[in-house]
Amino acid sequence: MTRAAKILIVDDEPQIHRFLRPSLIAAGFETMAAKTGAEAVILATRDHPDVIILDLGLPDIDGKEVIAAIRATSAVPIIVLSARDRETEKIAALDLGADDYVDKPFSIGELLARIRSHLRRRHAEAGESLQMAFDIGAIHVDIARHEVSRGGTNVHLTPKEFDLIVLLARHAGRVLTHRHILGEIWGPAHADDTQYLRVFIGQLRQKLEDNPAEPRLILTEPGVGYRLSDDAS
Amino acid sequence: MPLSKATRLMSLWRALPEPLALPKALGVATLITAAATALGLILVPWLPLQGLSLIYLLVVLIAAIGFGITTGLATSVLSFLALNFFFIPPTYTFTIANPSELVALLAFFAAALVTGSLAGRMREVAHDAKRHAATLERLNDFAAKLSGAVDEETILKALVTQAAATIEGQSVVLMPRGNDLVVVAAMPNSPILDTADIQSADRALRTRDAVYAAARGWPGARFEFRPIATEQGSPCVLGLAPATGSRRVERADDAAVETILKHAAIALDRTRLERDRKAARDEIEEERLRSALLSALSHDLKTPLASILGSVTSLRDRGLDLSEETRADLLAAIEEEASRLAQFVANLLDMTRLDAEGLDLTRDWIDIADCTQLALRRARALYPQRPISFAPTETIPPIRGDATLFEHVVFNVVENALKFSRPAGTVAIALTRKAESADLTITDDGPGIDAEALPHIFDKFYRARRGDQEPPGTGLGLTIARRIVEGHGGTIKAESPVSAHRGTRITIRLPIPTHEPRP
Repeated sequence: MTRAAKILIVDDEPQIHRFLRPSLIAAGFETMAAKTGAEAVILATRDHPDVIILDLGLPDIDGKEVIAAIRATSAVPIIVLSARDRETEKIAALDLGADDYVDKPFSIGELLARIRSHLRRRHAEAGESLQMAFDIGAIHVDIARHEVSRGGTNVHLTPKEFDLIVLLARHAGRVLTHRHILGEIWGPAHADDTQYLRVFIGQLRQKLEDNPAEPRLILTEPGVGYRLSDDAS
Repeated sequence: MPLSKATRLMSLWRALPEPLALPKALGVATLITAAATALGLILVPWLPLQGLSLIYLLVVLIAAIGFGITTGLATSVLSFLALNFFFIPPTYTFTIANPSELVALLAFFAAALVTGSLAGRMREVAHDAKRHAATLERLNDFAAKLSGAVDEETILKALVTQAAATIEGQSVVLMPRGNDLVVVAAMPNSPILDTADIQSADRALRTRDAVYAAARGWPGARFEFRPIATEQGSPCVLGLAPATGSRRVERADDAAVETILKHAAIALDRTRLERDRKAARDEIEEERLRSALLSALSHDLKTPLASILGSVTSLRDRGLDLSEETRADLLAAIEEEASRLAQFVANLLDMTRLDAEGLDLTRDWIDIADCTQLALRRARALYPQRPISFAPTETIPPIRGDATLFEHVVFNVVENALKFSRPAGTVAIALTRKAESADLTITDDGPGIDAEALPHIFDKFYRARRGDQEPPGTGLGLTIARRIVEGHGGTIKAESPVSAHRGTRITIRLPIPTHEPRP
């Protein structure tokens, strides 16, 4: 039996700790709690948690600064707790290196699913640092041969579409912001051309999704970016 | 010193009466000439003709300086005739025997005319200067008054006062309101305007040009009207009616009136800009309040919701192996957070109602001690562990008010005291009778309120100590409390620290009516 994963919960509200702690323990995790940003940075570097759940509204320092400070030394998955209406805050957090976000209020099931997904991804990355092939549900991406197949049949993708699916696949389960994707594939000069991205995502969905109108593979994070689902894998 | 001499001369001029009109001028000229002739007749045995003409020249000069150019010129003509009639042989006739004397007489006449008109002109110049100086002085006063004015009413009041003083008559300002023109300012008192006046005013307003009064003896407007040419202010017109018989504002005053109007227009524009700026400021303030409300909502509404949703989903999740103890705690958390939410929503609704409708107090006789007890029962239910003391010793006569709202006030203040003296502070309530009021004090032994925060604690959405360990709340409780207390004619104030650098005391003072209720 592997050791229980350690989760660091960072929130200044005692009410949040009150239900998160017992629920996460009951789900088989070990928990640590921090009520301030400073405490969070210390615990994150000293005790090496496996996942950090971080509320952005902290009393002492901005949650974004906490992300930057942790990212300086660690690649630990960070899931941000934020309000639905704070897109810019979420985007800034993701651009600073947060892996995911959950809107408050949230259900435990949702949070647990995210935590598990990031733990899985982390194990996968630890096992193979530069993966050359991905399987997402019925989709197979082979980077070396530059091929994508769906249910065994080859799908023809343009070079940009291929780059896009590889980028998403490498970060499956993570939210990638529009800026991030645009910067990686089209270059920093196009970081604000969200319209490009919409078109290419639409084409990818046409070629890869069972029902492009109801995407289950390439998920939209409204106002923030896209995420490649890793549930199917 | 030439300057002081000039000043003295000016003051001499200033003392002179107004120039005379023609009939009066003729009378005065006749009298003066008669006096000079009498003097001449007495002195004729000893004086040559040249000496006599000098006497006449002197009186022409006096007449011109003293009574104006008309009197001066009239005196010249009469003197010329008198000199000829009484003193040039053959005397008592207008004929002249000696041609050399004719030349002397004509020379005298020319000299008299020149003297009279020059002296008269000088007098006029001095008179104008005096008027001008007075006008300038008044304009200065006016400008000073305007620069201090902050509202339209003050400006218009200053305008009519100034205009009436300038033209020495009546003045009035009219402004369109709906389909009518109404008097918004008048000096010395609101005049009775007839249809012709109103029509003139209306025309001046529409054409943005002066409309003059009807000529004397003709039917028509008594007032003349001039538009006040503001760039953006509300349009209005100034009406003028000189008190003297003349219907037309004197030409000399025209420029002064125009200047006054310009000053007033600038001042009106300034107040309008100021008002706009204030409106913009208010809007910013409103915006600030709205965003404060939003952040209060997102913080204080979402945290309990997150707690409730998280706890409920944990309890329902079959995959989680929760102990009985944990289940009980999650259920307790749900209950607490739900009642906090209920309180929050109730406060928000109260605030909205108070904002929208003002205070609707059901005027009834209420017992302060009873209301306080009810509020404390609620507070004790919410904080069963906390000591709350209240032992009224004095009987306070009933006051007029709304029992429910007043209980709400006490509850809000007590709950606040409990929250800010967490975790184990005590809250003491006392009710004392003063001469004309009842004082209810709520004192806690918490950390107190910072001096800089103290003046703001009754402000909407204001919350001292943001962030760490902050007790949840809406920032509305004390605002609502103040509204309600003030609606009862009372006051609410806060002191901190109360003793030894700790504690906060809120004092609610309510007036005790002089009349006791009759059963």
